[in-house]
Amino acid sequence: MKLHGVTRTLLLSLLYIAVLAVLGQTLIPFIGPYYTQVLIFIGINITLAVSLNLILGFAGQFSIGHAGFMALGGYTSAAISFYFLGPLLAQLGTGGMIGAVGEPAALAVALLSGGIAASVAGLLVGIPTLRLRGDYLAIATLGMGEIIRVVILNTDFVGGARGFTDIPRWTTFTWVFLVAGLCVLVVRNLIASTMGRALIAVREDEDAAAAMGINTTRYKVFAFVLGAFFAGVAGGLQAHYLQYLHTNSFTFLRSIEIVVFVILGGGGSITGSVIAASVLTILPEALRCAESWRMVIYSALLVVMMLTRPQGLMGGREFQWSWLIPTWRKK
Amino acid sequence: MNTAVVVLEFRNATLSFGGLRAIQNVTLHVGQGELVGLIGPNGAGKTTLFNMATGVYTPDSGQILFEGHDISGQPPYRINRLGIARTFQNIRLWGQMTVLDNIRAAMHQRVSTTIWQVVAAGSTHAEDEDRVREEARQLLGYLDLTRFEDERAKNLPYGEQRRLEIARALATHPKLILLDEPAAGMNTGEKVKLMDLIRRLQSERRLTVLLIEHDMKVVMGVCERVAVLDHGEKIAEGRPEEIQRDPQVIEAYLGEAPPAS
Ligand SMILES: Nc1ncnc2c1ncn2[C@@H]1O[C@H](COP(=O)(O)OP(=O)(O)OP(=O)(O)O)[C@@H](O)[C@H]1O
Ligand SMILES: [Mg+2]
Repeated sequence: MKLHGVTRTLLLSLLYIAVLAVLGQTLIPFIGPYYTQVLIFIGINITLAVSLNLILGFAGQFSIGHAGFMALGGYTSAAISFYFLGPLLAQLGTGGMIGAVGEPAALAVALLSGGIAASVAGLLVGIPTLRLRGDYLAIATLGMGEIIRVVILNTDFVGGARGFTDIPRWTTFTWVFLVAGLCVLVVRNLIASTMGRALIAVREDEDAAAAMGINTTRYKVFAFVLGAFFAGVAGGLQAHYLQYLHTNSFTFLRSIEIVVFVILGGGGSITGSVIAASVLTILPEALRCAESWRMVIYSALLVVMMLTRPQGLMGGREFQWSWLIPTWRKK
Repeated sequence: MNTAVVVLEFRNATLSFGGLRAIQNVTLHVGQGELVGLIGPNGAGKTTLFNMATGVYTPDSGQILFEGHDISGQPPYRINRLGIARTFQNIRLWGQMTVLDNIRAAMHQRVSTTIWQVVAAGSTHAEDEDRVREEARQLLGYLDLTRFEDERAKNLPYGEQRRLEIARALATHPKLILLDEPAAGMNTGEKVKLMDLIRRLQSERRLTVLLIEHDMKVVMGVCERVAVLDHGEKIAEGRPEEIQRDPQVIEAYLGEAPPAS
């Protein structure tokens, strides 16, 4: 049976959610907090990498302000939880229905707020800056990320220079991978559609795209806003996992780390981003003893990769299941 | 088709780049269904005139009218939607995309969809996608590009890339098509095929064509009327045979490679 469109999306999503739920109940208690944390960071980084890939790899807009969107989403969702949703849950009590659905519902609201805040910022920043091309856009987005960070640093009710503490711990393994899965689904379906073709046309030759009737500014802003949304949600997940936020986690080095995920995985390849984000999250953990070498390893990897495979790991292609089928079965 | 109905008109159009007067007071019209040639030595301002008609540049003074409405100052994507499509002198395909997707992306504006449909279904309504694919394949067939359907555009031979540019322009359903040196880099066989194609655009597709071309055989072979630009000014206009004998035109080309006929 060949399934199409909505039905297919729905069934695959349900299957994915079921698997996540089962893993959350069985695997997570079994592997303990350390490995759970690594998994959670993998999920957050996948979301960041795939959402930046939409902007950088598919729409071709060199943005290095992703950490800024992440910070804005993280702080917004944390503030909403800390000042509003947390006290509300405490008032309603932990018994019965509220106890079961209260936290997930509150987290959903917090994440959504964070995502919306980040995408509004993306819209405000995107409209003027996306006129710029190449290096100019990179510098503008870099500046934007730093401005967001400095503004937060000087905002007292989210902790300012002390950092934001006592954020409720609502993020779970299941949530993180729900978001990562949703991000992959949205980007994948978008790219496979007429909108995706328009986006890629903008990347390939913006003037030609405009000459063929594509509203290039609209599509660039659209990619920027959607990418910012998921970065904001990822920031929210991190906030509600670590229970602590500090602007030091959102410097431009963080933005560059995400750019590295995308470039190493291959711009324009979703599976590439997923693999690169996973491997590069595990790597520093595996090299725990040499933590301070992390950036050196990144740089070295980038150099080697760019020399040997400038198109990235996947080179704009997606992983196909058929690659795993032995060739003798292919006619 | 009524060639008395003016489709495109430049009225005293002028444009400077810094100190350089690229276009000086050019007045030119193209009637419905006409096949007009635009010639002139290198740097005469031919491509610049196309860029003005497609919204890349706005004239400093003067007007550009399409179907009677002033379009100067409108963004390129809007001008395309009004019905002007173009090809580029230095081929500008979407290289990493497949040949089919180059066409489908150009048909983008005629696919109605919302972000919610896209996210839920992975594409637009299946019928819509089917219709687009079907039409794109027809176009590829029309331009004899079917066998390249799944190739990346950048991997196509040069002549095929030029034809794909025309196919992509046609995919936007234009009324007027601007061809910027479509025969450049083609061999004789390909040129003959191209001339046939240009005539068919006019006769079968009811298109109005404005053609920049250095190859005089092509210009003389297909154009009904020719305008000559030199140093940003229109120095002559008329039937191809007249133009070839015009002393001003011959002088403009002097020192340049003379137009081979
Ligand atoms: N964006 C620009 N900035 C500055 N000068 C320009 C620009 N575009 C074109 N020019 C100049 O305007 C003049 C006309 O250029 P144009 O490309 O229109 O010539 P053309 O007739 O198409 O020549 P060719 O036959 O070589 O294609 C040239 O002197 C060119 O250098
Ligand atoms: Mg030119």
